[in-house]
Amino acid sequence: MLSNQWLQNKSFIQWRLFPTQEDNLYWEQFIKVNPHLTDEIEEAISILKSIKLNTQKLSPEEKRNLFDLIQKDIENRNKRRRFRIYLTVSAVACAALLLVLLQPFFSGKNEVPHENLLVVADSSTVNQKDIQLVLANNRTITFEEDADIKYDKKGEITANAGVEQIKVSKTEEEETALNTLIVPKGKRSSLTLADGSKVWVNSGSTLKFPTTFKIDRREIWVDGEIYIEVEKNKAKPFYVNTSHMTINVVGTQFNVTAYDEDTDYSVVLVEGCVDVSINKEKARLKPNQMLSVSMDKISVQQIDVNNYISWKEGYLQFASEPLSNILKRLSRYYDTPIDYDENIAQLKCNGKLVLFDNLEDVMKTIYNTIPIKYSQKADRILVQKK
Amino acid sequence: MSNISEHDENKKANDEEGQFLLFSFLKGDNNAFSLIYNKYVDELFAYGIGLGFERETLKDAIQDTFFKFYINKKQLEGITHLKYYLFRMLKNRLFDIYKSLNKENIVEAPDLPFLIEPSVLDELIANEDKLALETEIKTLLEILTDRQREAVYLRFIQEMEYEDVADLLDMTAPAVRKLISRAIKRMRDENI
Repeated sequence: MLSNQWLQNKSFIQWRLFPTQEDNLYWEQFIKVNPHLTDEIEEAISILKSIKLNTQKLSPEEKRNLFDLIQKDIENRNKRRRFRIYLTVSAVACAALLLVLLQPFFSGKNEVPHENLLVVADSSTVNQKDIQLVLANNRTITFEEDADIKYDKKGEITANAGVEQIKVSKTEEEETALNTLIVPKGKRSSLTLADGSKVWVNSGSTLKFPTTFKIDRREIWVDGEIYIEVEKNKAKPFYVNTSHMTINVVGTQFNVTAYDEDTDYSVVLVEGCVDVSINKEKARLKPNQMLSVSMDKISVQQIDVNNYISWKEGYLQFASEPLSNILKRLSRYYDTPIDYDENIAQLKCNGKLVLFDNLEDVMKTIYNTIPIKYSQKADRILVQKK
Repeated sequence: MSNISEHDENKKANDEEGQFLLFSFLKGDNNAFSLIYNKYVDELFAYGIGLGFERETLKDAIQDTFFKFYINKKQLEGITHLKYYLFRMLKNRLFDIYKSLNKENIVEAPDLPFLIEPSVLDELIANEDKLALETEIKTLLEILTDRQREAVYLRFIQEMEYEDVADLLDMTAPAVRKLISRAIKRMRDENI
């Protein structure tokens, strides 16, 4: 083994272990000058490659066990964390607030108060039953199924609806130009805004929002019902505008119900703190309060937030809710007109109602629990006393 | 020798793999966490052994390191050298353990010893030659200071950037360059 002499040459070993530029040059030159040594040097190099410094290892079993311990640590922490979240939720349950606004000024359901801001899609080519996303450049994307849409910081859009996925890269338009998401009756969508805030948009709602927000403020416009989780950013206050109120938030979660066609408006605060401006009046909503406005009169009461935001999880929850309100929500949710007799309108309902895929299953649940019967005639549902 | 650039390629691919795993992990891919663990656990262990820690102590420290790594996801954004980051976390943890074991009031980071134990894995070479070679390397490294040994180990064996080595040793990058070139010179002078 001629390579042995190399394995006793300290300079050579040092070069292989700690190769500096200088040594590299020296040995390259050396090999060039002594080509007959190339083979044995190569052999020595390959042996030296097998040298490991500090090879002590954990056995595969030790490694596995150690990883299990790490995962246990993480699980334990998640358990603690879940508990914390649960506490937050229960604390939040009393911390809700509802703002009902009477809206006597507005009639006609497809008009939108901010005409100047709304991009109107060419309705002749669009199926009114589809979800529509009108981009800042007036291009319209439609979805037949409930969509989950995401805007990222760069203004790129990813949309998932059923098995479909659509990607749109940044448009040439001014970044703060407005996009419009129209969710018809019977459909729902969720939307992640450029700042990471997440919005759930309920049936029959229109939401307007910029591709990316302005430097100093974040602002969206709503006709309908949304639930929003606002990313905290004190430097950029977040505003939710509806036709008659503006809600100013700094990182919070709340529900806005403000259908232009409805006479009732509400804001349910889940977490944080919001300022609501109605015309010239301003109200700060805090936990454990519900604020409602009726005939220009503002009143405050407590509510269970779950009764108002559960729709985003696919069920409705009620506490002493008049049947008429429930039927109105179902009608919107399933895009089916529901008529009912006046003598059952004020029936008070409690509990949970799962929003099944079809309205019939939902109606079954209702008539199994309260004394009503229902019949269906040409796409209309009639609910009567049993 | 052409294997120098080949070596650089390997290192680059290795770094890129680390970055990709980090990216997947941050995106919420839990599988990436176990891949990161398996990729770096041996190197972290070897580094800890070099710093003179007991096997079991080291296992505890590695457990804490990965747990912390997992739960502090937010701090991981923008990290460019995942391996260095894990080494740093482990070393911090080991410092804490060292401090609690030596009840003295140590304010500054303690000077830990750094040991390098060579082993020749080549099967083709005779046992006595193996031992001779190992002794050869040991004496070569013995003339270095602990700090020099740690620096050359991180730079040449763990293939870290000078900046990262500097950070782990609480030095500036130019100072580490100087430290390493002195170490090389010292070994070279000794060989003559």
